[in-house]
This record gives sequence, C-alpha cells and structure tokens, in this order.
Amino acid sequence: MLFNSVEFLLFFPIVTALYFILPGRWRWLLLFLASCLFYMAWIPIYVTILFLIIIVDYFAARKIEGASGNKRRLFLMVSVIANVSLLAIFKYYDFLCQNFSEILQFLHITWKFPPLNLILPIGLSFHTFQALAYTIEVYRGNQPAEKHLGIYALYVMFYPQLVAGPIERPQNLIHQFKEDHPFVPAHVTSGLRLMLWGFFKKIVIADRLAMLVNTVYNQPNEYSGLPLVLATYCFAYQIYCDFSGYSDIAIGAARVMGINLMKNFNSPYAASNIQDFWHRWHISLSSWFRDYLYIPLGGSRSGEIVRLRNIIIVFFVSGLWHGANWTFAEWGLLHGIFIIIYLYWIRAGWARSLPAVLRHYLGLFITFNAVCFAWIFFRANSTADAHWIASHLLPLNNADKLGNLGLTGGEMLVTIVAVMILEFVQFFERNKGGVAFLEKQKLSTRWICYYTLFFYIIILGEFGGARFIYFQF
Amino acid sequence: MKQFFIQALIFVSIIIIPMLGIEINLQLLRQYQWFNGYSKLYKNAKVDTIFLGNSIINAAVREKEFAKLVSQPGKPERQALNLGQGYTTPVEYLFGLQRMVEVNPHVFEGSTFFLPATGGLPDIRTWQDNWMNWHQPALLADYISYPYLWQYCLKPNVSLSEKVLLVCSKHSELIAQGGLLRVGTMYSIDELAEWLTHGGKIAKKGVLIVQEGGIRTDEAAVANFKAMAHRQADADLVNQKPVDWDKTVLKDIVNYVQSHGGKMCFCYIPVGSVMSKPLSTELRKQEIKDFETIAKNWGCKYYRPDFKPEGDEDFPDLMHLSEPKSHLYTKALAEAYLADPP
Repeated sequence: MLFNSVEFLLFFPIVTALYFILPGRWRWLLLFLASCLFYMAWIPIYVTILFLIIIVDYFAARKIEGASGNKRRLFLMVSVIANVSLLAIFKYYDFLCQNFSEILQFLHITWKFPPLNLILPIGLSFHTFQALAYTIEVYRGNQPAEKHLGIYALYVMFYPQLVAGPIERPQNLIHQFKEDHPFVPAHVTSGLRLMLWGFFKKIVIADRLAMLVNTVYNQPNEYSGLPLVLATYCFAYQIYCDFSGYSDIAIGAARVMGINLMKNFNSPYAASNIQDFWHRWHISLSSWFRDYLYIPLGGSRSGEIVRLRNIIIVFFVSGLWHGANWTFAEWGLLHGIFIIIYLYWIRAGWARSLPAVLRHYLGLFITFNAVCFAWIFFRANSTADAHWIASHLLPLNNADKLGNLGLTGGEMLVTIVAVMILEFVQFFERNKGGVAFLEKQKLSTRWICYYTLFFYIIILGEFGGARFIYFQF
Repeated sequence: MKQFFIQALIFVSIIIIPMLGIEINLQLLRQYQWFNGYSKLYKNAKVDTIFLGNSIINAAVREKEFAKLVSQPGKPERQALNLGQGYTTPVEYLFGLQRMVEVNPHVFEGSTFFLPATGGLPDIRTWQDNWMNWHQPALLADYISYPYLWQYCLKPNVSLSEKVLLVCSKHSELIAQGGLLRVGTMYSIDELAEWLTHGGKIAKKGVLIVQEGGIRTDEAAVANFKAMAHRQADADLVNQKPVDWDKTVLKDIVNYVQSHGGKMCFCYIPVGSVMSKPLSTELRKQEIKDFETIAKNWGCKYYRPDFKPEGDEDFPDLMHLSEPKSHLYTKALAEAYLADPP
C-alpha cells in the first residue's frame, strides 16, 4: 500500500482509531494484522516469505541466547545465511547470472545461466537488514531474544517502516510494542504535522520533479549541457524529498500511536563535507553499515590500508544494497572515493588557512556538487547512460532546451516555490527535522501553515500515484 | 483532551465550511452539465441528431454545420448535439441517455444517433471493463444509480482507490470535479509563469484543435496527448483479444436507443499513423471488416464519409482531427448521410 494512495487515507485513521480503542495487550495483534494487510496490498503471497524469515530469525535468536561458544556463532550464521540467501535469490541471482554469462561469453565459452525473473518483494532489503540487526544484537548480548513471536514479527513488519525504513534497531523498537501508549494529543498533532510535511515533500516536490528528471534521464543521449545539469540537480531534490518524505510519513504515523522511530535524515544537503553528509543521509542505513560491517571489518583500527579497504568495501556493498545494477555499485564506489579524498584533504590541512565561514560555505558547495555528481550514477538507467551524462555536463550550453523538459512554466513555478518553502523550513529546523519549529509558534500561525501545506498538496500536488523510489530496494 | 478535540473540530470546520459553499455551487452547476443539461433543455422537445463518443468525435464533427447541411430547404433547421467528451466510457453514454429518457420518455423518438468507428472499429469495451476514467469521475458519478454503484464496488478488476473515488464523487461534486479544478488552477499558474517570463505578456499559443469537450490545446496538453497516443497504441497492440460484440456496452446502447424510437448509425473517423498501428493487426483488420455486417445486423447504418487525411499533420496531437479538417470531415459526413439517410 502506498502512503500516497486513497487506500492509505482509509487505512491509517481506521487502524489508529482501533489502536486507541483496544486495550494495550491486544494492540500488537492489531498492528501485526494491519501490517500484513499493508504488505499484502502488493503481492499477497510474498507475505509468506516474510513469515518464513521471521520464524527462522526468531528461533535463531532464541538459540543464540541459550547457547554458548561456537554454537552461538553457528546460530548467528544460520540467521545471516537465511537473510542473505533471500536477498541473493530475489535480488542478485539474475544480476550474477547475467554477469557470469557475459564473462564466459568474453572467454568464448557458451554457457547460459537461466534467469529466475522473480519479482522483487517490496522493501526486501529493508526488512532483511532490520532482521539481521536483531540477531546480531542478540549475539552481541545487547538485546535479549524476544520470547513473544508476535512482538518479534511486529518488529520486522511494523507497517510504517516495513517497506522503506527507517531500518530500526531492536533496542529502540521492541520494548515500545510492549508499553502502553495512551492517547497523547501532543503526539497526535506532532505526528500528523510530520506526515503533512512528508506528503508535501513527496506529492508536491518529488513527484513533480520526477516528470522533468524522467524526461531527461530516460533519453539522456538527446541532451547535453544545461538540461543534464538541471535534471541532475532536480534529481537530488527529488530523491531527497521522496525518501525523506516517506520517512517523515512513517515516523509521523508511528508517533501518532506513541511509537518513536529513529530519525533518518538531517538536512543532508547542508553538510559541509562528505563524511558529514553520510551522518545526515539515510542515517539508519549508514549507521547499520558502520555497526555491522565497517567495525567488524576492523574499522579504522588496523592500519591505513585496511581502513581504506574497509571504506571501499562498505560503500561498494552499500551501493549494491540499493540494487543489482552496476550503476549503484559505481555510485557507492564514487562515495567511497570521495570519503578517502576528504580524509586526505583534512590530513593535508590545506583548507586550514581559510576563514571558517568561507571554509564552511566552500565545503557545502563542493559537497553538494559532489553528491549531485554521484546521483547521476544512482539515477541513470544504465552505466552507459551514466557515463554519457557525466561526460556531457559541460559546457553549460543548450539553455534554449530548458523550457521543454516535461514541466510547464506553471509546474516549474509551483515546484520552485515549494523548494523555497522546503529550504525555509530546513533553515529553521537544522538538527531537529520535520516542522517541529511550528510548535513554538502562535496557534494562528501554525494553522495558517497547516492550511497552506494542505491546500498546496490538494490543489497543486501531483497525484499520479508514483511509487516511492526506495520501495524498489 | 477536551480542548484538543474542540481545537480539532474548529480546525476541520475552517476547511469544511468554505468547501461546503463551493460544493453547493457545484451541485447547482451539475444539473446544467453534459447529459443533465440537455435533459433539461429537451424536457418537452425531441432531439434531431446526437453525436456520442469521446473527444475524437467531438473534435471531428462540427455539429452546427452538420445540422445546417442536412436541413431541408423550407423546413425548420435541424438541431444536432455533439456530446462527445474526453475521458468517457460507453457505460457513461448509456447512463447519460437513460437520464434524458427519465426526464422525457419521448426525447429520442425519430432521433438519429451517431457513434464513432475510429479507424473502422467502434468502442469495444464490455461491462467487464472499467466504467470510469480516473481523471473524470463526474462523468459517471453524476449518472450512476445506487444499484450500479454497488455493482461497481464489487468489480474485481477495479482498484479500491477508484471505487472510493466514485462513491465519494457520487456524493460530492467537489470531489467529482476536483481533477478539473486542479487542472484549471494549474492552467492559470501556467499563464502567470508565461506572464512573468515574457515581461507581462501572455504569448501562449495552442494548436488548431477545436477547444471543446474537454480537449486542451495548450503546449503541455498536446505533448501529453502525443505521449498518451503512443502509450494507448502500444497497450492496444499488446492486449488484443477477439471482440465478442454481444457483450459490448455498445450493443446495449444500440438496443436502448432503438427501443426508445431512435435510429443508431456509425460513422467512420480516420486516425493518424500512431493510433492506426493497433488496428492493423490481422485480428483487428478482420474485425473492422466484420463490423459493417455487425452494424447491419443491429439495424444500424454505417457511414464512410468521402474524406481522407493527408497525413499526421492533420492530427496535431496524434489523436484529434485538426480544426480546419474537421469542417471537411463534417461536410463529407453530411453528404454521406444525405445520400443514404437512415
């Protein structure tokens, strides 16, 4: 079920109302059934895959807790292999087959691996990573194994974050399902406000910009210069508004019920360096990779070469996590290289002589443009397209084509105003997220802002029912 | 807690009250639109000629010219209505016709109806297909009765979103017309953007298509129609199933009109190269050939006006006939009609 659908418009108030009507001990069951319904809106049968992985991880964690020595490791491996196998079969098998076939073809060996052509279960990478976080934390002794299968299933399936995160940690989420959450007006208003803000970002900005981005990126060979640059900047805002919009709606929907989900974005384009960017972008995933891959690989403790190797591995895997395509791998590698360049830049201390303000804004400019450049690889339909776009950004010509990129003048105007509202809000919201600053305003100011956002969405939003970009991962 | 609910009530009321005002106005306007408007107009009169169908027939036929051409000298001029409308479905025409008969049971006695055979093939949709176009719920919501609404809600191949939209549109004209209001607002903002970027002047130029029946002729809409034409042609090419003429809604429309004293005719309307692609398969070619016999069996005349488009330039958005060519098509249709009246 999409958040930006009529179905969700009915689903959310009904589930929320029932949640507060039911006594605390039955709420987990309601949320579990609602989450099943939410997930089954796509391909109902795929819910069985989720159930299967839930059962495997549930018992693996119980066994890990009860065992000692190598047995603990063995049960952890069972969980890891089960989750990774699921990802491998559904997400990477066809990709690997295709690449093996091409390598063999290059070696003049005729051998074809038949592709499975399976439809990817929606949000698979998110819930497998969330499930893995649980068994790893149980293994590390940071989290007791959950005895209640229903509560554990809900931890994996909780509908607001089931298909696109935030990728939660068991320490933050599981105990909240056992607590009694009374109806708190402040939570409800704060949650609804965040949802409104998320819808604004998704429906008004992301889906409108998608029209321009798709026009250019689906036929990049027809463009060069400014249209490619504009489409790339627009994609930077599209993906941010799409994904952070989803996260805002997810966090807001959970908050209405008194459940706190972790923050996933923190004004990422206000980062003054690439490391800072990764502390602000998709925080739940970057911290997952830090805790469960970078640090176990040795992090930065085992010498310079190992550190650089670890950075490259983490970003390469992070790229492939997004999709089985070399474009994502290149995107990840590019970010790894940016991080390494940044570390050496800092060590060399070349920028120290500059005034702090200039250093900050220069850093902001370079970081934003580097991130935008990397987005080319993320969005392009193929590596060939990505290389074409990257090599045809300059010179900045073809300004006459800017008016014919899939958006009318009015749509462009509406989007520019919306982006200005976004930037204005983010300027006030640094380090807080959402539109929390409104809480301190007078009632009339708050309401005017809510009405403005509401009517902006209803009248000027793009209701094509576009999926969230991160659902495909 | 009590204060919270009072505040929430006030907050919602502030939105609801002005919306209710708009809703009342739209409800008043509703009775003057499409079939509703004509049912009022023909409460005590009979219609001479009605053109039914989508925006393609709306663009192709100049109904006043047609009426003038087919009128006999010395007799009162005939009246012709072009009810062709974009984004319509055959179920909507049928419900619309039923509305006219509800108001005046004799309205169709002796009338002539034209349905388009676009590229040689009329609308082949059946009751199994969707009855409503997502963009224009009002066209169905204003005419559907509750038993049919219930049937629609039980349809397995319609999404919940569409069902909810239709149910809400049936009860709120603001929701039913919401899409059009949004398009209208965006059109005004387009003009504002044009005004801002051209130093206070609006230089927007459309293409030459008749601007009625929901057909937009501005640059963006034309680009959209072109894309839609390609999409539709591709989809029609892939999803080709043999037509079971007895199951089409069209057959029910023919029966309904004939049972109320009307004469049903079909008129061939030419299409451009894109739209003709799905009609050039062996299956469709045979069905186009068969349709002349089918029409005859149904007791309908099938007119093939002596008009040939010169190429895709006669279809500026790849779908609709251009305005200059529509006059020629109308003349040719009137001549065919006069040569062999129903």
